[in-house]
Amino acid sequence: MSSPLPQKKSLPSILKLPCVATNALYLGVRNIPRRKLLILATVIIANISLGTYLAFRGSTAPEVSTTVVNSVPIVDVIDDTGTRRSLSSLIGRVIVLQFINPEAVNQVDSISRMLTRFGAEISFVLITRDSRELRGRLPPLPHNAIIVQHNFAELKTIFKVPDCCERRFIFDNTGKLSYHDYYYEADLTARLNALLQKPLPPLSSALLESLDSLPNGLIFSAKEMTRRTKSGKAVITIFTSVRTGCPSGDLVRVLNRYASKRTDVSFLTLLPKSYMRSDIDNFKSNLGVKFPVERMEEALSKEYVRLVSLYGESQLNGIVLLIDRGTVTVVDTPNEVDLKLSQL
Amino acid sequence: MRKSPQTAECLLVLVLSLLAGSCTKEKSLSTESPEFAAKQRLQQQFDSHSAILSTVRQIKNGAGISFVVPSAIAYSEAGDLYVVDNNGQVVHRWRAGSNDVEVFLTQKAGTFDFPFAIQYAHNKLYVSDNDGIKVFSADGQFEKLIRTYFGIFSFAITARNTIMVNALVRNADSSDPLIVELDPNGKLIRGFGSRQNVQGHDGLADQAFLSLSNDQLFVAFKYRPTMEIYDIASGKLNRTVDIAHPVFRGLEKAMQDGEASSRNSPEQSLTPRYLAGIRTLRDRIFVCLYLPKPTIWELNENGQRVRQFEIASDSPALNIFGFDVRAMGSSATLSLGLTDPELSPSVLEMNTDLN
Repeated sequence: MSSPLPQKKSLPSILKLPCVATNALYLGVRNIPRRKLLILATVIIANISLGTYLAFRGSTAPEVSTTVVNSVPIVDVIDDTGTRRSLSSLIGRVIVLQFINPEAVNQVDSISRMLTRFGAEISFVLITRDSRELRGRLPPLPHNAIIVQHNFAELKTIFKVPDCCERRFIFDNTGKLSYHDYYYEADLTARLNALLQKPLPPLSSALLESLDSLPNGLIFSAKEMTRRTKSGKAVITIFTSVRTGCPSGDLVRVLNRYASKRTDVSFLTLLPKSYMRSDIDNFKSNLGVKFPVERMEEALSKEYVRLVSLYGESQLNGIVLLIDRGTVTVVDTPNEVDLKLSQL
Repeated sequence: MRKSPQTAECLLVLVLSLLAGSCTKEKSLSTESPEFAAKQRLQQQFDSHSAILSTVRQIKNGAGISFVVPSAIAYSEAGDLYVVDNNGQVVHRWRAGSNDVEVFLTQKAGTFDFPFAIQYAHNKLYVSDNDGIKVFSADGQFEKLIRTYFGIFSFAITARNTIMVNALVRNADSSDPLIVELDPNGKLIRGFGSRQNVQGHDGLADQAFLSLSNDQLFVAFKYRPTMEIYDIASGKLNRTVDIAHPVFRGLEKAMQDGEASSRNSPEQSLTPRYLAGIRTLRDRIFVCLYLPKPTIWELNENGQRVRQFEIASDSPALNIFGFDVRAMGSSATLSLGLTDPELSPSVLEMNTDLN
């Protein structure tokens, strides 16, 4: 389910409160006028251009041919083994270029997962202030991943990464910038798969296929049960995490509302397999949930973990399954849940 | 994950501001913040009659410590100061009397998921993060995870080991209390206090810092110049105290005036921050005011101001991320976490007497 400040992704150097709130550096100003932002952006771009020119004029820093990072810049980098190479030599493959703080565990974890998942297919350029520390925290690097510490500050300037923060740039195999963000992992897997021309089937199709592959278990039982009950309907919601400050908390409220109105429909919520019995009790008491709550069983949990690895957790937290006489419909768009439940 | 327009706006403001700060020193983040500019202007206008507290110890980013985005601080009974780093996913410890800071808890110790608030109580360290509240022994051993399902802005541990929580609630309504009390395992016992639930405000007006005395709960609102005092036993509101600092009186208007010329529509609102923390100590209440020259009010139990302090710091505070106080005999040690206009975090420690 969506969230303004999502549960499982982070903004570097932005204080991450649980979903609902703003960040510490967000100075309490809402709706900055667009005109002002435009002026500011213009000033910034002009400053960056001038600053970059001044920074590199006559210096031994990497050569720069452009100040706009919309494609792989013509820059030589020296990796931590002392090898010099041009970034443009990497064109031909998808490139993930990541500024990374080895102290920020979520950044390191995120890139570790990407290296494990895509290390054979994608070129990785990891730019850091401390290459030794970073290397020590990463899994063994594939041959097409390099760590760069040399000229760290200059590279930050070239890519316009603020001193405080880290950023990620993804270039397609022609060297064109495809996407850039902080170090969110939310939809990154799906994005990289798309760039590798390995598009995934729609999530709903993949999930239904997974569920069909499970010969028994809670969802199978619920499907069978709907074939026998008068209403023939059931609503199953699967969460990977829930908090009141997040859309997941909102969804629990919506479910509560419909569950109290539609006593003829079976409602069930599934939480991660790793949760304890007391976690289930707290979920019910703290969120006022009156309908059954269970933990995912082994087989479903495995399938869910697999899907999360493909689509990202953000897409799979708060999936609602509507079952009508054994037929399952997946509602994976938060805005549709209320509407679909009202049509039960 | 679909981002809301507000998130995009926050990011855009942040990124543009940071870029401006990194490219042109004259046009730093501080001058782009109408809140900071208005507060600085107003604070310079008023003669504060404050006692000045000098820094006795200080930790600065880069000087043996690497803060990413620290979010809260807390003293232990022994006087060690713990600093939680939200993006760094660690808890630092600054031992009493030491000038060195150590990494006390890392991701490996308790698998932090963006730790945010921190409390030390009954010889245990409590850290809230996206999973709930994680409890550690005094020597840093992970003991348990309390899954609360509440987004936690701040919390306090009572003498009975129950947990008072100021919860973040998306789209809160009148049924949502300001404070929830949980048993030591995280199960809801009761809720009390009223939220303002300002439309389109994302619950900012209801974010508050908590501190406990024997029988009262003190609630200091981040986005209101207000402190509320609740009776713990009954949950009833005993008293509302206005933190009527002269800067706060003219703040919203000053900010609006500063922004009015470039505003596109009248519905755009400005939301200044007022209070940055609270701590009760014996019969005193220390409230940290969100001002560029950080200011602390010492109040008596009736909410009357007894003293006002200003912190002597090298640079103004763009952001205040932590505040705590502890008693040391007849004196008090105060600590403050702040971020300067260059976005560099530091932690300061000051002493005062407890007359």
